[in-house]
Amino acid sequence: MTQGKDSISRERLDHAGRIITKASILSGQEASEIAAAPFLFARIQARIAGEGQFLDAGLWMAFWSISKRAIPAMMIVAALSFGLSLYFTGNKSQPPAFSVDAYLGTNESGVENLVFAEKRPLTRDEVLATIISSDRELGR
Amino acid sequence: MEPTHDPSNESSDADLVTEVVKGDATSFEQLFERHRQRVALIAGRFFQHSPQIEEIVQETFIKAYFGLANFSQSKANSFAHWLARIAFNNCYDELRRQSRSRKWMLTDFVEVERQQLRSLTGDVGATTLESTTINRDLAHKLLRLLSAEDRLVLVLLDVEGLSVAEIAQLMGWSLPKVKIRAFRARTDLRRLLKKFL
Repeated sequence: MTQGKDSISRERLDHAGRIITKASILSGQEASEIAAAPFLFARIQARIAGEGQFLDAGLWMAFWSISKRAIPAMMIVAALSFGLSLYFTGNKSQPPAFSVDAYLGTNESGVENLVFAEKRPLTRDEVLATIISSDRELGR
Repeated sequence: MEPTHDPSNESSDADLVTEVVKGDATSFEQLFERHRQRVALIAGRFFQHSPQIEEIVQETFIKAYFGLANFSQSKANSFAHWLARIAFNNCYDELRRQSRSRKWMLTDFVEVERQQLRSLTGDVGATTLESTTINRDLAHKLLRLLSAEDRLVLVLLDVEGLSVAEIAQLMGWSLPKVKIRAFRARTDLRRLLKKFL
């Protein structure tokens, strides 16, 4: 019952809506009168001529006016992204590069430190001196 | 825009378009004479003041002039249909501009107008509804409360008598969009009218 009443009122509202929509429009006679306004075509011609000139001569101006806004914006974006990339790469711990110190353990204390502290390769004389000294120790 | 020759009055729209693209201003004037009333009528579906309608007519023909080269290449529809599409789109843009510039409220209605709307929507019998006259200003005032899309769809459905498919083709919208928009437009208008009951 209520549904029936609702549907009737709904139909009625839709009908009223159509009447309102149709009431809002201009009649053909009124539209004709407005369309017959004097100098309407002359005004259109003038605007076409004006816009045509703008399209021909104002192309570079239009490009410039766009560039004036776009270039600073792009520069800001570039600077911002550069700064952000610097910030993030600076915070990241660098992967340890190959270091002779780490490999040889020169930072450690003890015998290894003495043996491997020397970064440069041993010379022949040094090798010979080491052999001789060890032979001497054995000879004693 | 120097006239090159005077084409006969029996020239078709397509012939006149070709001449305009070649640079003949008189052909464009002929196109204007043929179609200005229809464009004004379309503008009159949405606006009631002559300066607004004249502006829509001007905008429509200016856009048509600069788009004629593309139209003559595409050969998709008739010139009248293409021009109507430009006109409806111009009206739609103008409605959107207006809705952005000012938000209309129910409080804008004076008591006499409320009474008139109440008589239209109240339970006074279907026969009297047909005979009820409603002031155009009041109708405009009420329809301004709807969104631009709602208003456009309602006019295309109820005044122009177009089908959903035709509206979709005219406005370049998808079928579901038109259906949803039509449903929402009717619901919104119904809700609006209920407030006056």
